[in-house]
Parts: sequence; C-alpha cells; structure tokens
Amino acid sequence: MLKISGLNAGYGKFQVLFDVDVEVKKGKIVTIVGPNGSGKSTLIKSVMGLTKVYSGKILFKDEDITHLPTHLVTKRGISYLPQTGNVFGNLTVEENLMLAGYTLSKEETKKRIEETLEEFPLVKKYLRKKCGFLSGGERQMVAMAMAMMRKPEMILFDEPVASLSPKAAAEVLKKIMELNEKGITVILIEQAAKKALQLADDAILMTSGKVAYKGSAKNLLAHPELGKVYLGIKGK
Amino acid sequence: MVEPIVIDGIVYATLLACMTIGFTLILMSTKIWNFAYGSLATAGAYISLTAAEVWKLSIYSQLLTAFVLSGIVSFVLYRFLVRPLSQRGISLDGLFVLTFAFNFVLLGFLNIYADYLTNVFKLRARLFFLRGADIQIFGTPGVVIISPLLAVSIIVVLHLFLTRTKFGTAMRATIENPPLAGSVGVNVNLVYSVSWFLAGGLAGLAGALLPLWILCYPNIGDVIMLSVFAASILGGIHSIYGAVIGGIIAGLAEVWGTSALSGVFGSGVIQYRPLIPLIIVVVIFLTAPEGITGIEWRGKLTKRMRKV
Ligand SMILES: Nc1ncnc2c1ncn2[C@@H]1O[C@H](COP(=O)(O)OP(=O)(O)O)[C@@H](O)[C@H]1O
Ligand SMILES: [Mg+2]
Repeated sequence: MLKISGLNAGYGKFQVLFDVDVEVKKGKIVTIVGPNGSGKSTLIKSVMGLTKVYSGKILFKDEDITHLPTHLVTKRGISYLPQTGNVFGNLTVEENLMLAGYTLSKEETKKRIEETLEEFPLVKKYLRKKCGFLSGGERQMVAMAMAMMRKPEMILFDEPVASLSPKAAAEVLKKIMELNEKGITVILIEQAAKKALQLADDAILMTSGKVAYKGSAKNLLAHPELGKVYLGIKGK
Repeated sequence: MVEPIVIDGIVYATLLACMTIGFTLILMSTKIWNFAYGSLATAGAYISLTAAEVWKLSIYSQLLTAFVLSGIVSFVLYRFLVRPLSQRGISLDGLFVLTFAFNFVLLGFLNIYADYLTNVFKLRARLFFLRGADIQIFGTPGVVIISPLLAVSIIVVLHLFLTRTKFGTAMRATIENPPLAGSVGVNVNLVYSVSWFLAGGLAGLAGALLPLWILCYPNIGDVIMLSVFAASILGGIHSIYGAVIGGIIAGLAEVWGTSALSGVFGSGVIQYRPLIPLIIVVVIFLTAPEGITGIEWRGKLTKRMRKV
C-alpha cells in the first residue's frame, strides 16, 4: 500500500533520513520504534509532505506522492496525527471535526460528523468545548475522530499515547486496534516499544536516520541484541 | 462643525486601525514583519488622487480599485518573492530584509508615478490633499463618518468571515498550526496568499481615505508604518481584535498627545510626533510584552480586588 524507496530527507539542509526503504502492506499495523531523534517522526512527516525530500520515492497505492503538498496527500486517503498539536486548541471540538471534513461537501461533512460521533461517543460530551481545555486523553480521542472523518485508508499515528495515563493509553490503543480491524492500515510510532510491538504485525527499527531492522514485530521482540540495545527490552 | 483636532484623531486612529488589522494578519499567518506594507497604503492614496483629479470621479467610487490594486501588489510580493525564497530555506530575518528591499522598489514606482502626474497632468502630486473632493454628510466631511464606519465594517465582516465560513475557520486553523491544517486538507499556501491579498487590500483602502483629511506624499506610508508597528505591538500581534484596539489607542495618543503637548510647549513639538509610537513600543515592551490582549485582565482585576 505504501512503498518508500531510497528516501533521503530532512529539514532545510539538515539531513535526517538516509536511504530509507520501507514497505507497508494493506490492512496491517506497522510499528516504528527507535531511540529519540532517530528520525521516526521525520519518516512519517515525509509521507505527508512536511519535510524536504532530497531524493527517493514515496508511492501510495502505486501512485507517486513524493512531492505532493500536504493537503493533496490527505486527499489521497491518508490521515496523520502529529506527535504534538494534533488538534486545534483555539477551536471547539465541533469546529475541529468540521475542519477535518474540509475536503468534503457541507452535507457530507454533517453526515460524517454524525457517523464519527457514533464511533466516538465520548467526544459528544464536549462538542462545544475548545480543544485547548481538554485532557490529553480526550484530545487524542478528538484527534482520532478527526482522522476518521475522511474515511482514510491509512492512518499515521505519531506517539499517540506518549503523555497519557495508563488507562487513557489503553483506551487509545484499543481504539487503534478497532480501526485496524475495520481494514484501515496503521502506522504507529511508539516509545513504549514492547507494548506497541505486541499489537503490531510488522515492525521497523530506526537508528540514526537509517532502518536497522524491518520484519515481523515478533522477531524484533525476540531478537537477542536489537531489542536490548535500542529498546530496553530485556531478553529471557 | 466638529473641532478639527477631534476629526484629526478619529480619521487617523480609524485608518491606522484598518492598516494594523492587515499588518497583523500577515504577521499572524506567515510570521513576517512586512516593511513594504506602508507603501501599499500610499498606493491607495495615489489611486484617490488619480480618481479625483484625472478621472474626475468620486473618491468613494474607487475604493474598491484601491483595495484590489494594493491587494494584488501584496499578493505578488508574497507569491513571487516571499514564498519561493522561504521554500529555499531563507530565514525570517532574510524575509524581513526582502520586504524592506521591496519597499524601495514600491517607493521608486510611487515617486515615478507622482512625477508622471505632475508633468503630464500638471497636478500637485508630490504633496497633496483632497479635502475639497470629499462629500459632506450633515455638514461634516464624509471621511469623518466613513472612516470609522469602514473600520467597524471591516472588523464585523472579518469576524464573520473568520468564525462563520469554512475558509475563515481554515484560516484560523492555519494560523494556529500549519502542518495540522495541511493534514486535514487545508491548502495552507492558498490561505497565506489570501491573507496577503486581504492585508494589502486593507492598506489600500485605508490609504485611499488618507488624503481626504491628511497631507499625502510618496512616503507617507513609511511614516505611518512606525505607528502601525506600535499599534500592532500594543494589540499583542496575535489578535485581529487587539490590532483594532491598538490602532485606535495609538492613533488617538499620537494625534491628541501631540496636540496637547504643543499646547504646553509650543508648536515646535509637532515635528517630534513620531516619538509617540516609539514611546508606546518601549512602554509596552517594558510593562506588557504580550500587548493588551495578552494581559489577563480578569486576573489583574481580581488580584486588585483582593488587595482592596
Ligand atoms: N522541524 C525540524 N527542523 C529541524 N530539525 C528537526 C525538526 N524536527 C526534527 N528535527 C531533527 O531531526 C532529527 C530526527 O527527529 P525526529 O524525526 O523527530 O526523531 P524521533 O521522532 O525519532 O524522535 C532530530 O535530530 C531532530 O533534532
Ligand atoms: Mg518523534
């Protein structure tokens, strides 16, 4: 579904990613793990057209999206939840949802908001509140509801549970699993590697802007060195 | 008949407010201190001169022309200079120098145009005044009523646009978080282009009304820019509404302050008028760097009440 090949990308003249090759198959959950600053966020930002790509190709459903502006990548059916600032704090939850349907018609947006609220019943409770006043968990739910507004085929999550309480985190991860069961391909960046790897099909380990491992998540969990060195997972 | 000094204050303050709204809009959306902004107002003033003296039309009938022309020049500056250079990684400082340089180009054109009007149409175009071309509303010059009306309409229309329309909401979203706005499908570059066009248009509009009450010349916009900076900073640079309040306060302080001081110290102080916006900037930076909209008025009040 998503195929990245020979990707060199960064910010301005500062290169972060070096020759990254990654493939994500339809309907899977792929977790990206790796130490802080290793380029995980940069990798999915590159998919969204939010970095400078020097060379390489990004194909989504066999179509080249490498140098597409962000809003057009979105239109192709990819939703992205940034690591920080994943909702508009100055806008109400309702306005956030409306914006999430920006590319849809007025009637379609209305219909989708109703459907999305069925899917995320909790969000209904604070529809008129400004997102800036919500808790981290509530905000993450709104962000996921927003991502679902356009019925995407793939969602990119950048550390969605990093700053949440264990309870809220579990709820969010459960929701992600649910979305995946509906057929949405998921890319999930996670610091708490062990947990994230347990629910993933495939895994990518990034170190210093390069791919150090790609393959099944199980194998990475069981890997004698990689897990220990980079993820702090203790072997048996 | 209203006192001239009252009219001076009202006209200057409301036009300054219009200009500050546009200037602040550019600052909020693209983070650029646009030094070429004042000359866009001057361009509006020259449209009015042309309308009144060359085309022999009412100045009010050509306000839209001034809005569109200055809007287009502003858009061109953004679309063909600012954006390509920022995509090549130029810093904000670099962009600031760019707008500064672009202002010289605009000043060049304005001076050439003034000379053209002077030589070809035998007009006084390097120093002009169009009070005589104004209409009278109930015995007062039209500009006294129309410029406050314009400021109020702009803020109402802008408010409705930003809160009630899809594109306006997208604009607020882009100002807050551009990458996220892009990710929900907003064409961020289009939002920026529209901001620059609207902002330039507001400068043109305000500038078109200027010569109805104030003596104009090719770099009057630059002189007013000092006040626009002060007004924008006073308003807190992150708020359209702050910009209006800042514009009114800075404008009135400048006109009435100078008048009051000249009453005390003699007319010699009038040439030091630009000091007033400078003093405003210094005082704001020292006391409330976030501007008046950054002050937590409620907290301040309750604190004071607790003290009492
Ligand atoms: N907007 C940016 N501008 C410049 N450098 C950045 C930016 N964002 C991240 N970086 C740098 O890119 C590198 C990788 O960052 P990132 O992809 O966020 O890592 P991770 O998500 O794996 O923690 C870091 O060295 C970071 O400092
Ligand atoms: Mg990151």
